[in-house]
Amino acid sequence: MNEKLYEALEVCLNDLETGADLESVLTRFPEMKDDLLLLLETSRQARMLAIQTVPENVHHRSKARVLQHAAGMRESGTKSRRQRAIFTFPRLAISLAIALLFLLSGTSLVRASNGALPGDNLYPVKRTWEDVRLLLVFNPSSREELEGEFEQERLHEIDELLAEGRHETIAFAGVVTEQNGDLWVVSGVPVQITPYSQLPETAVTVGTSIMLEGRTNAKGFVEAERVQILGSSIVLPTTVPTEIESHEDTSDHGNSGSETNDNSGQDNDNSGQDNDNSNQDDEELESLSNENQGDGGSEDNSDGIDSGSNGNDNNNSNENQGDEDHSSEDRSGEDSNSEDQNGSSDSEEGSDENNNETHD
Amino acid sequence: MDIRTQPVSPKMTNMLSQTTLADAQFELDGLQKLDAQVIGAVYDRYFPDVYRFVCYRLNDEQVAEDISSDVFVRLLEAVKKRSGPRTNLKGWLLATASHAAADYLRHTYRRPTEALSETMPDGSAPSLTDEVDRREMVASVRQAYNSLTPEQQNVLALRFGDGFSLDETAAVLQKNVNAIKALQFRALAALQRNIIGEVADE
Repeated sequence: MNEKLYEALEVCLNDLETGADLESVLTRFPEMKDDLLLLLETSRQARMLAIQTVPENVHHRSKARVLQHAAGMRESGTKSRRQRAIFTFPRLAISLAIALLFLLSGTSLVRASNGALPGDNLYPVKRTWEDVRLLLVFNPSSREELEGEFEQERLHEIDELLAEGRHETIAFAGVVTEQNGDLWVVSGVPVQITPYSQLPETAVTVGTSIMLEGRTNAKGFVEAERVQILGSSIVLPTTVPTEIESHEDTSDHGNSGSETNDNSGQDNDNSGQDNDNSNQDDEELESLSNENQGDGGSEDNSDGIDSGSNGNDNNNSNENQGDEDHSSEDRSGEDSNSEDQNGSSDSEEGSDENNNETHD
Repeated sequence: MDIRTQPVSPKMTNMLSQTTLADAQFELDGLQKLDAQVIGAVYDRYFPDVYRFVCYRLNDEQVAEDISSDVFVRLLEAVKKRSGPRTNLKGWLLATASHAAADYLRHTYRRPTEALSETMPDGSAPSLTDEVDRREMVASVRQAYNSLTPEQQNVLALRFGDGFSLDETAAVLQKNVNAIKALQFRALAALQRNIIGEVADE
């Protein structure tokens, strides 16, 4: 019954909406006429509450408000997108900067510390970086190799300290190769034993591996403070008096004169000038400085005829070591250069000058 | 302007709802991009329905104007946040309007009703007494209407305020057609009882 009434009401409402007359609509449902009449009358009253049209001014005013809001949203949308970009940018930038800092501190700082000597601010960085590198090597043989390399580096540092005449506390391991009373040569480093030096109970002889703590002095010696004998198991630089450290070193100490010290100083200056003049890659700089050293060596040769051939030999050995230690491409060039030098007569200054010109 | 003055037949409604479905995505895309033209078109298309619905429910043109435009603002915000309507834009707008009206009623003291419309529905020149009678009648109907449940108010607002068909009303209120038939019947019956009661009280 109720469903029929609902349906009838709906039909009547639709008919009325389409303009039908109330009487004629009701005739379709005679049995519900009374109920429907009241409800349809009420629906007519309900329609009276409705507004017929939307006032135009209301429509436009409200539309303007909505569109204005949309414009504001567009504006703030782009702004907030920009703000979001700015907001996300710092986060990205910060993390990138941190990553970069790590990378740079890992490379540039370490790179900067490469040439650090004991007593320099960056020297701890250099040593730490070496420790880190050792930590990362698990293969025993390559670890040994690396340790040897670092020991060589210690000797090289000492050489530089001595060349610069600095007073620094150092410690290094080496093999005693010469003993002239209080003057020893340990892996190519001249060491002076003083009355204050703490020596081991067993006598130190040529060929003994020792750990030496001391201070460099301006006279080109290491003043030994403490000497310890090392077990044979400990990794040491090659027993041959150091090769890497140097050409300067060997020529210096081979001549064992203050002149050659000066020369090596000049060499350093030269390489320094090269550094200043051209912002070249490290490798190029290295090769340049090597070549300068080579030139220096050949100049030494021209100065001292006795040691001339030695000097050239030193050149060769130096550059051969370069082969071992540095990237190979530069070296091949250097080798050919050195061979050229050897091929042309040793004492010909002309060829040397040619070389200088080409290198410079 | 799409201001509906004539009630819409069910057939036309079907047609409209189909075009609504077809245009819905275009409209929503435009709203998403805050395209002024699409917003304008959507506004022109639906504002009269919303405004008349709110007017019917609240009997306050000023408030209805505020709420109606606010509904469209909310639409823009919702579409931007992708929480807006998926397909039934009109249903969403009217449902939002219904909530806004309910909120308004909750938060404000329901003021004594005033005669809403100054113009006669049929446009005939009324005599003074007719006009007074009509105003009294409207006032009593308004009072009776205000006593209805919100659901009943919505059905009457949609069907008689907006002239929506049963299907459209069902779509907006998200109920099936038969439920709307019953609802409108009970709403009219209740309205009638209330009017009679008021008359009896007087």
